[in-house]
Amino acid sequence: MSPAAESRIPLLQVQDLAIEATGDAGPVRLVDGVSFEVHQDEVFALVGESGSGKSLTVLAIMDLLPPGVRVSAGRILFRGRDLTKLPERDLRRIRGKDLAMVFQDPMSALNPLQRVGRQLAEAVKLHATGLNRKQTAEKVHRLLAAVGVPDPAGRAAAYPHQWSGGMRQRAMIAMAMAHDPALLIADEPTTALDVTVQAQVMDVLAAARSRAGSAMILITHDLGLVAEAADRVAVMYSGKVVETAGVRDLFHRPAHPYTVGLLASVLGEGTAGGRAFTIPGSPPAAADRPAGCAFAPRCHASLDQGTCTTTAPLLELLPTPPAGAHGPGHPAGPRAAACHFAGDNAGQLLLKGQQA
Amino acid sequence: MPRYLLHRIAQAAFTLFCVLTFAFVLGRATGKPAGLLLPDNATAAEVDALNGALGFNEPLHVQFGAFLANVLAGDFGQSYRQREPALDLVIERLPATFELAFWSFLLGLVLALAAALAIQLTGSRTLRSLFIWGGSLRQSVPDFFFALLAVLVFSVALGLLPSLGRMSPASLVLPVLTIATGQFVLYVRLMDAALSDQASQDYVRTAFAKGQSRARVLVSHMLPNALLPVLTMAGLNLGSLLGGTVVVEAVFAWPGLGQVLTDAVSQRDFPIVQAGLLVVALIFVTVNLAVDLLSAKVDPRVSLA
Repeated sequence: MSPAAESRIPLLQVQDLAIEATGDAGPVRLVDGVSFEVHQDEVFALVGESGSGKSLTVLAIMDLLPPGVRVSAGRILFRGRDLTKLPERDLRRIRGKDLAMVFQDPMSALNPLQRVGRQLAEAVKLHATGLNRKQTAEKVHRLLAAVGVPDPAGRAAAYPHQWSGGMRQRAMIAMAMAHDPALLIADEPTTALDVTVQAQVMDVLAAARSRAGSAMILITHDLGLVAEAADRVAVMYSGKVVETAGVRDLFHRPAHPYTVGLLASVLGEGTAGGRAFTIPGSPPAAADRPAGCAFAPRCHASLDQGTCTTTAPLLELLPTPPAGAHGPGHPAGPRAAACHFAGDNAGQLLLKGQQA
Repeated sequence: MPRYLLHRIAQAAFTLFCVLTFAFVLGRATGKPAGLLLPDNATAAEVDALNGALGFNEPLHVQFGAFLANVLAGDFGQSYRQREPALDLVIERLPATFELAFWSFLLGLVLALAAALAIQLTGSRTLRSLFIWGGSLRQSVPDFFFALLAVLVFSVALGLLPSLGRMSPASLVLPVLTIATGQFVLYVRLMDAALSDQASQDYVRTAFAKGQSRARVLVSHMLPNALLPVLTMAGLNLGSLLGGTVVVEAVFAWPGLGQVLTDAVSQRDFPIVQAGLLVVALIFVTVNLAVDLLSAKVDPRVSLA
C-alpha cells in the first residue's frame, strides 16, 4: 500500500453491506458483505454482470432502494457519517447536494409532464436558498450550457419527449452537478444510449466531474470504459465483490478467475478463430447460490478443487506488485481478490480450462 | 388544433343524428299517441283525426323529414300532457340536475383523492383495505336502497335532513352523499393503482435523488401522472351524472332531468323523451370533448393533430 493512498481519509466507506429482498420464502440476500472505499477525486468503477448487485449497492448509498428491498447489515460511511442510520430529514439534505446520481435510462428518468427546465430548477432550489425565479432560471441555463446543450433557454422550455436520448442524459448530468456534489454516482450512464453518442456523453460526464472535483462511482459492464475512465475497480459477482484493484493491475494481472474471464471475453484472448471467449453457464439466482464460492460452477480454475464448493472465499489482500510496475502518478493501491486460488497465474489456468 | 376541433364537431353531429333517429324510431314503434291524449270514451274517428292533425298518418320518411327539420329549428313539439314546448320542459330541469351532478361528482372525487393520498403517504395496507372494502361494500348496495337507509337514519330517526324535494341546500346532502359514496370506490381503486404504479417510475426516483420530500414528490410528480387515467373515467361518470341520475332523483323527488324523463317515458310523452335524449347526448359529447382537450393540456405528449 502506498503511503499516499493510506494517508487519505476515504470520502465513502462501504463496510460489509448486505441488502435483502423480502420474499415469500423468507428474505433473499441480494448483496452480501460488500466493502469498498471511494476517495476524494477518484473514479471508482463497479463492474459485473446484470444482477450482480452493483446497482443495488449504489441505490443503497442513495437510500433509493425499491420497496421491499432493504439494507440488512453493514455501514455506509459518507464523510464519517453512517448513512444507514441517518434520519430521512438529514439524508435529504445530502441527497442531490453532496451525493448525486445519474441513472441508466434517461428516457424514463425525467417526468414526462414537466418541462426539463422546471425539473432542473427543482434540483437547484432544493439546496439553494434565496434564489429568485430569474436567478434559478439562469443557473439552470448555465448548468445546461456546461454539459453542451445548445440553446439552453429554448431547450429548458421543452418537454422531455422533445429531447433526444443523448441530450436527456446531458440534462440528467446537469441536474446531478447542480450543487457540485462531492460524490457522483453514475449507474451505466451510457448503456441506454445510441453507440454514436455514448462517447460524447461520457466525455461530458468526465468533464463535469473534473470541473466540480467530484469523486465518482461508475457502474458499467463496458470494460473499455473502465480502462479509459477509472482509477480503481471493484468486480462484483453474485452479490459479492470478488476483486478490487487499481485499474492497471486489474487489466494487467487479474487475480480472480471471473475477472480473467471477463477480460478474455472482451479481448478475445485464449480463443481460436477470432471468436470472443465466453464464460460458460450463467450466474446463480440470489436465492440458490451454491455453497462455497458462487463462481465455482463456472470457474475454469476450480476443476477438481473441493475447497471451492465447500468454503466461501473471503476478499483477501494480495501481495503488492513489484515497484515500478505502474506508471508515475498511478498509486497501486491495495489489490484484493476473493478466490482460494487467486494469483497471477489465473490467466494460464483459463487457457488450460479452454483446452480441456 | 382547429382541424381537430372541426373533426370532433362533425363526429358529435353524427352522434346526435344517430340519437335523434333512435328517438324517432322508438317513438313511432310504440304506436300513435292520439289514443293516449284523448279521453277513454273517444271514438275511433276522433282518434284518427287527432293522429292526422299531429302528422302521424303521413308516411314514415315524411314524418322523419319533418321531425328533423323541426329539430334543426329548435322545435321538439309540444308535450302531449303539459301542452308546453318539450325542450323548455327539459331545459328548466337542467339547473337541478347540474347542481346534483356537480356536487356529487366533486365530493366523490375529493373523498377518493384524499383516501388515495392517505394510503400513499402512510404506506398503510390496513388503510387501503379499509377504504377499498368500505367503498366496495357501499357500492354493492343498490343506490335506491342506500338512499332509503339514509333517509331512514338522517330524516326519520334523527330528523336532521330533509328527505324530499329541492327546497334548501340541506336537501342536497342526502342525494349527493348517495351518489358520491357510490362512486368513491371506483376512483379510489383507480387512483391507488395509478399512484402505486407511479411509485416505481424512474422519474419518481430521480425526484427523490434530488432530495425532494415524499409529500412533494407525491403531489408534484406522481399525482399529475396518476390522474391521467382517472380523467377519462371521471369524464364518463360526469357525463352520465349530468344526464340525470334516474334512481336517486326518483327516491328523493329531485326535480331533475332523470325525473322528467322517467315521467315522460311512463306517460309516453314522446316530444319530451326526444328532447331529453338529445340534451343528454349533447351533454355527453361536450363533456367527452372537454376531457380530451384537458388530457392534451395536462399531457404534452398527446397531440391533437
